[in-house]
Amino acid sequence: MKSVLRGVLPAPLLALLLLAAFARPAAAEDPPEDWKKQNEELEGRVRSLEDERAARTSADEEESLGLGIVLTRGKVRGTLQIFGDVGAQWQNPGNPDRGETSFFLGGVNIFGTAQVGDHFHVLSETVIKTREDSSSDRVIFDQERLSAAWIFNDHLYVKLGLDHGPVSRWNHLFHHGRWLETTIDRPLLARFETSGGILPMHNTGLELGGRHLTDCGPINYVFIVSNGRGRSAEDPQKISDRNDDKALELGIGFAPRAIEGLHVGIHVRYDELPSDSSVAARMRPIVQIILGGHAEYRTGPWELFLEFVLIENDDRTSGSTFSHTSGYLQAAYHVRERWTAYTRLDFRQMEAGDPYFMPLGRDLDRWEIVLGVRHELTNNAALKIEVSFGEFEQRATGGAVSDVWYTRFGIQVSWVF
Amino acid sequence: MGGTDVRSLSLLPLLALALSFGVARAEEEAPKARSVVLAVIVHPKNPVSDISFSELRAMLKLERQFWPNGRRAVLYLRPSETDESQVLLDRIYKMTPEKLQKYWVGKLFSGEIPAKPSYVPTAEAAGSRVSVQEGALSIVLAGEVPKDVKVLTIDKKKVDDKEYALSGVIEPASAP
Repeated sequence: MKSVLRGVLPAPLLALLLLAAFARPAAAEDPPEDWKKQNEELEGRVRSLEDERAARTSADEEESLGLGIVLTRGKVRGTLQIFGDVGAQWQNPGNPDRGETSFFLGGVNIFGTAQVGDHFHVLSETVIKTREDSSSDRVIFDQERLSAAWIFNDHLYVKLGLDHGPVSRWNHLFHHGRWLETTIDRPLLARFETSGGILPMHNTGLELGGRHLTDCGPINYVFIVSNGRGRSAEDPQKISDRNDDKALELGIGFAPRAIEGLHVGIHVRYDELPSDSSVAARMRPIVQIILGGHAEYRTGPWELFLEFVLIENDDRTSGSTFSHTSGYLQAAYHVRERWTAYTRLDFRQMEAGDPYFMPLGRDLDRWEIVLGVRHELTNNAALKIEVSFGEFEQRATGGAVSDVWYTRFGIQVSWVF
Repeated sequence: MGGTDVRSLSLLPLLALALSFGVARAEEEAPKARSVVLAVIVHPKNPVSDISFSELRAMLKLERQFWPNGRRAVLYLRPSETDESQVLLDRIYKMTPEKLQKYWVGKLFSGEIPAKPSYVPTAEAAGSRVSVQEGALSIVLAGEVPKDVKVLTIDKKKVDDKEYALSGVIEPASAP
């Protein structure tokens, strides 16, 4: 019985196998035309989806190296970057009413842009930082840039809002992003209005600019009409103007093709600073003219910055003209892949007694030499260690001016993501 | 003793053969410098068919951001470890991949560009972006030009011309 079953059972299986063997080639040889078409379409669609997915993944990965977050939705392409820095320093002598050694918070810089279509571009830079006063330190929010621009083409854009002007190349390149700066601190001429600076770093107004490519290299140009400076050198008049005399500013730059990495430029600015009827020495306006120029060379391991400005304050109350100059030369060399050594010679030569700078003690001379190294901890974080020494003038309560030598050792960690 | 010498001599040709085989294998395995030719691809409707090398450099550095028809140039680059990127870093950007990333951050931060370029993993992915976006521009290997795109000549030279500008040699040390 068993042997019979053993012989009978495989028979239907054999028949099925034979049927399948003959049926499959017949189906493969002659598939319906619409099946073929559908199959090709599906294969194409799968390939396309795979490409899209791969492209999306790669873009996200590359752009998330730490250098910003990019999001694209329809015709809007937005970018978010956050800069930050912390540090410590030892300074001898220390600042008045402060110790020689201190840790410090630099700030958090929230930077965002959005490109809407081909021509519209908005930008915002908000800094959360600390401000010292006599009794305590306060954390404040400061809107440093906020602008909307219509870019017609390479030759012309129109921008409205708050932005940094061409008055300092350093300021134009690095704004409030400490990680972008090779050094811990900014040069004297590029310091902000509320940090001891002598130049107007912020403009609220209308900017026209563009770029023209020549055979010799690109030329960029910018013209700005803005509120100008307020009664004090600390007041950038971001939200209103105390007079109807607008500041006018023109800048031109050139990057010669013959010397890769070189950028040179000049700028001029005219402003009528408002009078202050509560101060006898400021009964009339001050006409301020600023002339300046820069040379920047960044190629291979080298990084060189040279800037110079001349400020002429024509005081209509006293009839006197006060001339001030400031400049710096900074050289950096990338010693190894992640190490950079740098030095900077920095000075400010001021004419004492200028009623615009004197109330803040900014009509006094100062010079400084900085030596330091920068180490890239990662692609988006840097450690900077530097020593600086120099001399500054100090005015006593009675008005007598004396020279103070100082030495400072600083360390900073800065980052962007 | 004499027999031993004969056996040793008879082994010499075998030894030489083995050595030559080893040398040949070593030569095969040693990485060699290789030539790479790149193609500039744009949307088929882009009115530009030829571009000068200096204009191309300006577009890849985003010093120039608009095409003659007013469309914004949108760059799709290849990741830094690819041959395409290595040649561009050497011929166009003249900087390391890390410095290039910092360059884009600086440009964006100073408001000179509204967005950083995007990166695409394959020539096909570059093609899929370029073929649907009128202002798009990408660089791919000349042997991997995807379909539905237009290849630009550089200074009137095609990719297979001798004096074609966008080519380079990948040295073994820098090869991925």
